[in-house]
Amino acid sequence: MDIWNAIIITPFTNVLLLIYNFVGQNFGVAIILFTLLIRLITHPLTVSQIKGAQGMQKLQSDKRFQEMQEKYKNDKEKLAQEQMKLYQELGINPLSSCLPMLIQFPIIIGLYQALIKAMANTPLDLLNLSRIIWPFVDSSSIIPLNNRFLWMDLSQPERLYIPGLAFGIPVLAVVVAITTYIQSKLLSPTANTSNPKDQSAMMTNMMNIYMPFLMGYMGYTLASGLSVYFIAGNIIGIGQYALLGKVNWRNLLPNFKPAAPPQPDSKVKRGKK
Amino acid sequence: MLLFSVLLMASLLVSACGVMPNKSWPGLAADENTVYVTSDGQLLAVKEGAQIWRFPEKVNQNRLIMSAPAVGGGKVFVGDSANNVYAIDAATGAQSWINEEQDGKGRIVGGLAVVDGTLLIPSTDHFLYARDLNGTLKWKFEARNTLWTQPVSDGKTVYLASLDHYLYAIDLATGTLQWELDLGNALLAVPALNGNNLYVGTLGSEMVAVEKATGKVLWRSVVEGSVWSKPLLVEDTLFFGTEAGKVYAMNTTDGVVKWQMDAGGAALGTPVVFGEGMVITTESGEVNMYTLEGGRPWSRQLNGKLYSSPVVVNERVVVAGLETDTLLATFEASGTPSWTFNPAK
Repeated sequence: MDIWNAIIITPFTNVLLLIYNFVGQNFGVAIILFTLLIRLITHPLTVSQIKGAQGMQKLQSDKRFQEMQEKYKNDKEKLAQEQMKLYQELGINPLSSCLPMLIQFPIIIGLYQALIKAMANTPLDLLNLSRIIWPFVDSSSIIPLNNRFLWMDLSQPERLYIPGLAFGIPVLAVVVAITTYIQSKLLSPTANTSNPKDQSAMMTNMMNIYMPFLMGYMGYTLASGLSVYFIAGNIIGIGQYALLGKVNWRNLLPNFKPAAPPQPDSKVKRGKK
Repeated sequence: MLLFSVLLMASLLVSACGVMPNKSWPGLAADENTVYVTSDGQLLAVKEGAQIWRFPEKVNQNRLIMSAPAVGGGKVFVGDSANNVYAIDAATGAQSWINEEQDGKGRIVGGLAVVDGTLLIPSTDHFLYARDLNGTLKWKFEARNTLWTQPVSDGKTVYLASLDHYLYAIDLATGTLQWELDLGNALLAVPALNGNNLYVGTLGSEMVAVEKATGKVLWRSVVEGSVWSKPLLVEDTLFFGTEAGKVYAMNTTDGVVKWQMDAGGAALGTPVVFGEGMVITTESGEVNMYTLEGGRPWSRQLNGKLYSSPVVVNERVVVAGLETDTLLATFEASGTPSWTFNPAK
């Protein structure tokens, strides 16, 4: 845990606080810029992940792949051998979509934990924060952290109170849910309608429905600084994929039925023989 | 993408479980023979090592009792993580009243104070609220930032140290600002008052003397480590600990250090007069007895962290620990351990 703190949490927290000071002590803007910075740094990994995922998606719809699944369904060892051959033939590295993702993973969790640490909620939190602030970060001007952003206290769950209404409206939680839904729709691969048993497509559809609710619930219950992070992450993520031309804008249309993806042109990829 | 989302969700949920509750150290107060301690979201009344009552009976995660309690008029007052204030009957633990005027927009982290029939409530919503002991709002005063520090008063003026670097002097009767003073660093320590002056430590490692009537700085004395709590004032000497693990005795007239000692760990709580000297606790679990001349007759080691200011009840010093084997431990003036207390789960 100490190594995790030293390598991830402490640097992240300090960079976040430096940005906070740089942007005139606005923690909301600091969260957005920090999310953007992390996404820029991890952009090559995202590109690598997209390429790997695309290759795997093509593989799923390759007739030979489907045939060997059927043919060797009772011989897992043989199936694995044949799959490896096909990977080599198509120039696909099955780890290329997972590895970048696994590297990004601690970074995102670290970002989340750094946000919580920086938003010191109690004297105990403040004591712990004060002990990890680097000497060149001006702690006297940072403390107290200005947690207010627009109408929100970023260290508390957000509610918008309107005169006349007896309850607060969780605006940010709703925006988190909506942006998560839009992102998941836009980034979902085109469904393989030629294969009704495509479990991956079914799982994707299911996640597209449940994820926004789960993220919205987290936005409802957790500190609103995290909701700002979720929303910024969703919007930046969409922008990132759009720049790479990987966004399926038509997925947002209500009754859009995507066409079956074309079979991969294995002859083009076949180079090593 | 799918796997990524699932893993991300799972991890965020797991991390969220551990960090989001408003965890703080226990807050202590006492009357003649009962100790009141806030811990893990509840307020407990303990007498001679036995629990008399607890409030609420079950922890409400949305309304965690966080502030150090204040005792007055037969009631115990505490605040919670949803900005509510509770008045609890000191004898029975029954709730007398609750004030929910500011619910959801802040938290009550700093200790409450009872002064001449007025309850003073610092809130993270930037307001200091003054209520009578029945809960009726008398006035409220807005500071520049979140308030985590217990206010103090000499019966005419309320002195409020704030994380926003300012020290505020507010009229107790009306809530009108009399003066304010920017000390250049966050203030978490409660000021100590004497006849004409007040003394407050800063997170910028200073002790500052200020004239009560005008807000004029009389002297500033640099110390080793940030000051987190109220100095103990005995005649013309201030006694206090620092986060760097030092204990100081400082002259009130000019800020000159009379003596200093290593405490053995960060000393964040206010020292308490006890027996022939005073007791200071440390983050590393030490309960240290000092004479006013700088001697250390005894030191006891507990397993855990001691951040809270100790109190004295029935000729025993009571300390409250975080991550300790027992929530409360007591010692006689000789250093002999007395009763301990751990709440039933």
